[in-house]
Amino acid sequence: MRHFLTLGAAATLAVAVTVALAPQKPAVAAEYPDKVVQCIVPFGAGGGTDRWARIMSSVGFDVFDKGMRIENRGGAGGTVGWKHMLDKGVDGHSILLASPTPVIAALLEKKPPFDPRKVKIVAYYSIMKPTLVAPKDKPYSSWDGLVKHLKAGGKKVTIGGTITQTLGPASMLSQLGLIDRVILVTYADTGKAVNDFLGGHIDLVTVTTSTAINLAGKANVILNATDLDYPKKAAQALGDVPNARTLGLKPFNPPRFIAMHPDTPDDQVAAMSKKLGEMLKSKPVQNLIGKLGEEIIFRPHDNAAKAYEEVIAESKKHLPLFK
Amino acid sequence: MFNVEAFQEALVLVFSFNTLMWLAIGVFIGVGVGAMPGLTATTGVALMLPLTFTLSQAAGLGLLIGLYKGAIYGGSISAISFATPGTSEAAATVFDGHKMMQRGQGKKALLMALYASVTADFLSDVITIMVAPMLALIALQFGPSERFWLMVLAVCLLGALSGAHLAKGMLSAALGLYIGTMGPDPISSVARNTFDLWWLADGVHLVPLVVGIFAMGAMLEKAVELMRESRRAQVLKDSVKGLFSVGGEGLTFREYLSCWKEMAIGLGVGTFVGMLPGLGSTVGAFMSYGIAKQVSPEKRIGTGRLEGIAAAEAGNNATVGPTLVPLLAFGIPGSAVAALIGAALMLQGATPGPRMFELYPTVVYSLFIILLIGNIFNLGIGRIFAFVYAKLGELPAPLLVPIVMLMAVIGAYAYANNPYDVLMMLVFGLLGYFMRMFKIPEAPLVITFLLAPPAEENLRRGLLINEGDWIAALFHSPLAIGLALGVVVLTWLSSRVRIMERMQAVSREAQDG
Repeated sequence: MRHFLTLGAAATLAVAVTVALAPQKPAVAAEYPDKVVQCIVPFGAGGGTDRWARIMSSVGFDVFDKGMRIENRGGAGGTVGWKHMLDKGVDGHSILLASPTPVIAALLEKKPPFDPRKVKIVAYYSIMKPTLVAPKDKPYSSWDGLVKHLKAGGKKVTIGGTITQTLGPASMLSQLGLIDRVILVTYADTGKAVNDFLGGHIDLVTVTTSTAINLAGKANVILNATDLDYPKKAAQALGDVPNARTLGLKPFNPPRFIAMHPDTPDDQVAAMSKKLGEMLKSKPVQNLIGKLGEEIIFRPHDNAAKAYEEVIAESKKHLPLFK
Repeated sequence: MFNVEAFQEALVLVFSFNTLMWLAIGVFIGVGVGAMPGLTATTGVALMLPLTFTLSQAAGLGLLIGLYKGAIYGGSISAISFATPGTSEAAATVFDGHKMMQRGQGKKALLMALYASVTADFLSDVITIMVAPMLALIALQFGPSERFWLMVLAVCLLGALSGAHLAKGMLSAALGLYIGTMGPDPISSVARNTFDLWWLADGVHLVPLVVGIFAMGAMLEKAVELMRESRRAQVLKDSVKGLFSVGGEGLTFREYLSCWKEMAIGLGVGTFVGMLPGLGSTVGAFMSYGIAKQVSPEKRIGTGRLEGIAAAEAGNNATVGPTLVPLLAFGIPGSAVAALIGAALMLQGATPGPRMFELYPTVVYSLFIILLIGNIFNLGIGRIFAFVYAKLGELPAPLLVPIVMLMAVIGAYAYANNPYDVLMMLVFGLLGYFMRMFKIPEAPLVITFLLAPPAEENLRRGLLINEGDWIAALFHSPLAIGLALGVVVLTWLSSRVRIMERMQAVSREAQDG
C-alpha cells in the first residue's frame, strides 16, 4: 500500500512537472481578450469617431466574449483621451479609437503631453478623403482652373476647413509652389466652414466625402487629396474628381486608426487587430457605416504601423503652413 | 410642393403606438438627463443613438427629438430648485427662478419655466416648418465679421446684468474673459494660459463653471451659515425647508399671459440663434434674458420675476427646431445634436439635404409632426417630473446642502468623465462663494466666458481672411456695418438709462435726506 502511495505521488509529481515544463500556449490565442474591451474615444459623444465606436460596439459581443464598452474622454483636440489611455498603463484591454486630430494637436504643441510616435498601432479602420470644394462659375471652379488662377497671380484664395482636412490640399499646393497664393482658414468643425463657404465668406472648403456629396449640386468638387478612389456610390455622385495619384502629387492619407499603449506585447496587438478586423467585416457594421456615407478601409497592425509613420512625417512637414 | 399622400403616411407612422411610446420615453429620459447636472442633451442623444438602429424611422426620430426637447427643458428644474443648472442652457434661469423658490414660489417658477419652454419651442417649430429654407439663407449671411458684431451686441445687451455697481460688474466680466481665454487658441488650436497644466489644455468647461459658481458657491454659503450659528440651526432648517419647498400657489393663466413679451423675445432670439451654427441654446437663453431685461427695466428682472424665467426658458427651447434648419436645408449640421439626428436619419436610409423634401417626403413630414407633438409630451411629462424631482428640496437643510454638493460633484464628473472637471468645479465653487460674500455679480463672468471666445474666434478669422486688414475684417458687409451701428446705439442708450437711473436715485436720496 505504501509503495502504491509512493508510486501515485511520483506519478502526480511527474504530471505536474510535465505540465509546468511544457511549452506554454500563448495566453492570447486561447482567451484573449478575457475582459470587457474598453474603447476610449478621445472626443465627446456625438462626433464622427464616436459614431464609428457606437456602431462597432453594437456587434461587440459577437466578436469579444465580454463585449466592448465606450468611454468618451474628449478635450484638447483628442489629447486628453490619448493621455488617459497612456495613464491607464498596459492592461491589454484598452484601445483608443482615434483620428489624426490628436496627432496634429500634439504636434502643434511646444510641450506636447505625449509623443504621438510612441504608440502601438493596432489597425486602420478607415482613411478619410479630404475633398476640396469650389463654387461654380469662378476661375477656380476646377483644380486646373485653381492652379492656373494661382499661377497667373490672380487674387489670393481662402481655403477653409479643419486642420486635418485642409492639410492634404495645402500639402499639394505646397508641392506645386503655390501655397503663398493661398490663405488657410482653420475651423474647429466642418459645419461652420461649410456655412461660411455657402455664404461666400471663404472661397473654397475642404470637407469629408459625405459632406461633399451633399454639396455636389450647389458647388464643384475639385480635388480628392488622397491617392485612393472614392467608393462606387460616392464616385457616381461626385463625378470625375482628380486625386493625388492622377495628378502625380504626393498624397496625404489621414487615417482613422486604433491604438494601444506603447508597451502592449506584440502578440496582444496582433490578436486585437484580428478581432477588430472581424468586427469591421460583420454585415451590420458594414451596412450601418455605409449608410453614414463612410467607408471601411481595414489595414492590419503591421501594415497600418508603417503607414502611420508616414502620416506623422507628412504632418510634421506641412503643419508649419498653418502657423 | 405639399405632398398629401406622404403627409398622410407620416401621420399614420407618427400616431402609431410604437412611435408615441418611444417619444414619451425620449421626453422622460430627456427631462431626467437635463435635470441631472452635467449630463447634456448631446450626451443623452448620443447614448440613445445605437438604440435607434433597431427602431423604425419614426420611432427612432421620436426617441431622439423627445430626448432633446426634454433635456433642454429639464435643466431648469434643478436650476430653480437648487440653483444648480442641470445643463448650461439653464444657467440664466437660476437668476430669477431660484430667488422665487427662496420666496416659497417654487411651484409658480417651475410651471412658468415649463410653459415658456413649451410655448416657445412649439412656435419656433412652426416657424422652422414654414420657413426653414428662407431661415437657412439668412443664416448664411452671417460670416466671421457679422458673427463678431453679433457677439459684441450680445455682450452690450447683457451689460444690464452687471448689477448696481459697475466696477464689481467689470471685475466679474474681466474674470470671465480671462477664464475664457484658457485652453486651445481658437485658430491655431495651440493651448494657452494653462500654467503648463496639461489638464487645462482644453480650457475650462462651461458645465463645471456654472455648477461651481451657482450651485457649489450657494451651498458653501449655506454650509458656512449653518456651521457659524448652531443656535440658529433650527430656525435656518425651517427657513431653508421653506425656501426649497415646491409648495405654494400655482401659475395663473393671467400670470402666464403677462409674460407674453418675454416669451416673444425668447422665441425671436432663440429661433435666430438656433439656426446660426455654433452658438447654441445657452447663448439663446442669455441673449433673450438680457434683451428682456433691457426692454422692460420697470419689471426688475433678476429679482425673482416670472418674466426673467420666461425669457430665459423661451430663449433656450426656441433653439431646438431651428437647430435642424441647416441640416434640412443643406445637409450640414449646425450643432452636435443636429449631427446626431442627421446620423440617425442616414442610418435609417434618408440622407439629410436639400433634396430630402423631394426624395423622402414621409421622413420630413414625420420629423415635423414629431417636433410639434413632442411639445405636448414635454408639457405632460415635464410637469410630473418637475414636482417629483423638486420634492428633494423638502429635505432639511443639513441634509439638503450635502446632497446638492454631491450632485454638483457627480454632475461635474459626468460631464466628461474627467476628475479634473470636479477640481475645477470646486475652485469655481470657492470663487462663487467669495463673489457672493463681496456681492460681486456672477452673471457678467458667465456671459463673458461664454461670448468672448466666439467673438475672438470670429474676429481673428475675419482678420485672417482679409490678410490683417482691420477695416475689411470688421466692416465686411452692410449687415456687419448695421450690427456695428447697433452696438454703438445700444451702448449710448444703455449709458443714458444708467445715468438717468443714478440721477433719479440721487434726487430720491436728497428728498429723503
